Amino acid sequence: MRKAFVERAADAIENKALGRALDANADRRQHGRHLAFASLPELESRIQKAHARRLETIHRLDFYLDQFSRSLTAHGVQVHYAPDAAVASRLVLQITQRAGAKRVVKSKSMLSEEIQLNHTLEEHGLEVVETDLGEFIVQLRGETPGHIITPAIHLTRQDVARTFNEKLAMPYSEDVADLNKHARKTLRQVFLQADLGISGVNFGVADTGTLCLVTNEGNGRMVTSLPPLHIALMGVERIVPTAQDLDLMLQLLPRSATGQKLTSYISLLGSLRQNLKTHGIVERHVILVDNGRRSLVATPLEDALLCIRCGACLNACPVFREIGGHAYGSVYPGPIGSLVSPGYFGIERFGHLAHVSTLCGACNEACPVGIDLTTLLLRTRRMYREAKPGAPGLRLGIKLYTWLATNTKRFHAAQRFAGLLSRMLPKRESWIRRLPPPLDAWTSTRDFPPFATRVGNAGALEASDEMPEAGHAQAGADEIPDSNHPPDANHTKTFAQELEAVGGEIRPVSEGNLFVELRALLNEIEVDKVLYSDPDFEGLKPQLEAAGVECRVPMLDGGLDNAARKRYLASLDDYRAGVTGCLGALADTGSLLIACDGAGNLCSLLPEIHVAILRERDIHGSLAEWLEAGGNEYLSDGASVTIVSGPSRTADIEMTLTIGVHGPRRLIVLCIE
Amino acid sequence: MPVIVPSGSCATMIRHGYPELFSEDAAWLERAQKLAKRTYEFVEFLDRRTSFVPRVSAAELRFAYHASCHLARGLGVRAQPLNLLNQLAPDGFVILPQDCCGFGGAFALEYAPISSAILDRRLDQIEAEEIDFVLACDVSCLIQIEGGLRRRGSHIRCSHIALPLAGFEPGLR
Repeated sequence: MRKAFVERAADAIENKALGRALDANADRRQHGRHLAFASLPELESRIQKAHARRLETIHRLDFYLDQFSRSLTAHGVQVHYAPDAAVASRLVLQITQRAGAKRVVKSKSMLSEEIQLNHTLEEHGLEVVETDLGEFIVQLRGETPGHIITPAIHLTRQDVARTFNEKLAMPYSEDVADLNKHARKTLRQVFLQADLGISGVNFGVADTGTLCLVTNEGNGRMVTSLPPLHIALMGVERIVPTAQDLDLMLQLLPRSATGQKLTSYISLLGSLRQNLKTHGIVERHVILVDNGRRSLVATPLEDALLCIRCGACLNACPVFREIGGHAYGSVYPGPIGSLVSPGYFGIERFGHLAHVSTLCGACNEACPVGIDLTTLLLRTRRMYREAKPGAPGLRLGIKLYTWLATNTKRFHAAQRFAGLLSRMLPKRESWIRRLPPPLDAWTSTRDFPPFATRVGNAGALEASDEMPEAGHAQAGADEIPDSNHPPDANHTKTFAQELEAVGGEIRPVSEGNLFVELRALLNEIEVDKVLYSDPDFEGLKPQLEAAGVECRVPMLDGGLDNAARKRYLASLDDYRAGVTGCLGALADTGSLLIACDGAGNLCSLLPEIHVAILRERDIHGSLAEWLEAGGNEYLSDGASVTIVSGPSRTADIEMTLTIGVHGPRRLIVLCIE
Repeated sequence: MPVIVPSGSCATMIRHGYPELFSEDAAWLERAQKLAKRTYEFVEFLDRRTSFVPRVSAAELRFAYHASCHLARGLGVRAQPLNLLNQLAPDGFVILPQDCCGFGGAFALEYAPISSAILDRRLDQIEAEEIDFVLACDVSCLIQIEGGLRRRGSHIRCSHIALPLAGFEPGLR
């Protein structure tokens, strides 16, 4: 495994285009992360609290998994447990075959890559389409993701243009917006025809039984709501006890991963027992996958289980920056990958990765849940050496060094000897140009200073005392204010600013002229038919209809047969705008809370333009405040909510931000004062 | 008696690495912890335990400061070297971005191409500055950086921060 790694790494270093892409990734992601965290006060204590909560959860994993399973079952979701990759794949296959599903759509799931699910499904004749733009590109090329957050990180726009030209018969274009548009069109048809959606899970909330998916493009929402059947793959460690814990993780994950306060869409999937007639999803399965995770509990590598897969350590790592993701030879590259790959999949196969690090600590600094990755890398090195002793020459060398270094006289004699020997080596301006093997790897690119021939022992100095204890204390970990911001009387202003910052638009209206304003807006965007989810504003729909606007309330009846269902979905596809109400809004992130148990989901997802009607009084300061103000009960009751922050977006091609890859390109909020 | 080491990476290893390494052996752990408590990196020692101020000025010295990873991240020694250097060179000096030089101990040999690629990036940053010296508090970084600079044929040389602070000619030898 090590030899293959060395070869892949050398190829990656030679690859100039890859180098440029990795540079762009590192620069932009790190910059974005720093900017995003500037808006989060008391970051250190949040990181400590997140670390403590994650660790506590891992220590009581059985308890929380049990609670989670019971909550899910109560919501009508079927729960399965897979101890390893083979069982996980087999479970998916069984569910798929039992339902007679042929066409599978997937949203990004590193766990599915881990268990090589696509391979299994395709082997059994199923058509599997990755719908995350980056994953879609990578799949078309028959490759694997190069980064856990940015799968197509290693490709240029020219690469993508050629791939789309060859595989999708798209006229060659290097325009990223064009490429996105073409992918949207292609994949929309795939979505409308899909029998089964497979997704990952970012977090599972144990007490409310909520599945949380953190996405930007909108494909995750489609995968989990358009096909009648949804299978969610979740690593057992991705559980959080409560919605409050989820809130904390959501403060950290998007900021770390993509530099966003929240991603465009945070899906909170709840019960299937609500709104059966309009919900669309008939069956949902959650497969809890272990595959080596629990073997790390109560071991020196336990902290690796705290990871929330933000990818920040990859973006910060100087080694990743040079060699990219593929060189690692594991689905999980970078610093965290060098821990979980040996941890989950075997120290003998992947233990060498722990040595592929300068231990510079950039990963520790970047980690939003306070994992001390460098210490874990050192522990992994030790375990690797215990499992797989080094080459005889190396072992002999270390024994010799130990013998020399544990005795002052011997050590000095050895230094003098090396100094004498080094006189014979070729030099330029006194530095050595070529060292003998095995040290010649150094002088392949670097000169080496001559060894000293004079060595000595300084006399003892008079001094005493010890250093004061370093201030590592976990002071105040429990004293963080739960909300992002102090109470803000003027939530509306903050909300408007944040909404605009994420690319949304806001127009203040009065209750009395809502209809007039909405009618004017629809005229402006040249729309005379909309998907309409009753926004609970009396008389609005009849008024619109009287004015000649077709208002179609989409009801995806779970009872429809497959063909009728697909026909129905296809008939919704030519509505350019959707109108919904809002459960509420979050000021600090500029987000809308959209009820997604029924029509609201389709209206806010399928059309190009989403018009949301919001009452000013429903604007909460933050997610924590909404949870406090009843959101928690709402989720416990099994409601499905999507937290929408701006239009659908992606940066999967050359890190170029593009709007509207799967979901709406425009988000317009009519805010009733 | 304090142990003073001229490299942030050595001090980090003794302070954090040794207690971790001997965590399963009570007797050795105690010794490691005792040693850890009295071990200082050079600048850290100057800052915490002495009232040292540079008595020389090196206003004519054109140099950049490389904050070694283990010094800055491992020991949290970030401002102290800068304070000393500000006194030494009141007219200013270059502070390189907080990036790794690619050394990493045996990594530099075992994965020499990766180590060299990281070094190359660092050397590009260094050569873009109008300087004659790179100063740092870590001998291993300095050997890596000067080894690379010399191989490139650059005129820039490296020096431990202690030499100019004490009024000596900067340099590795």
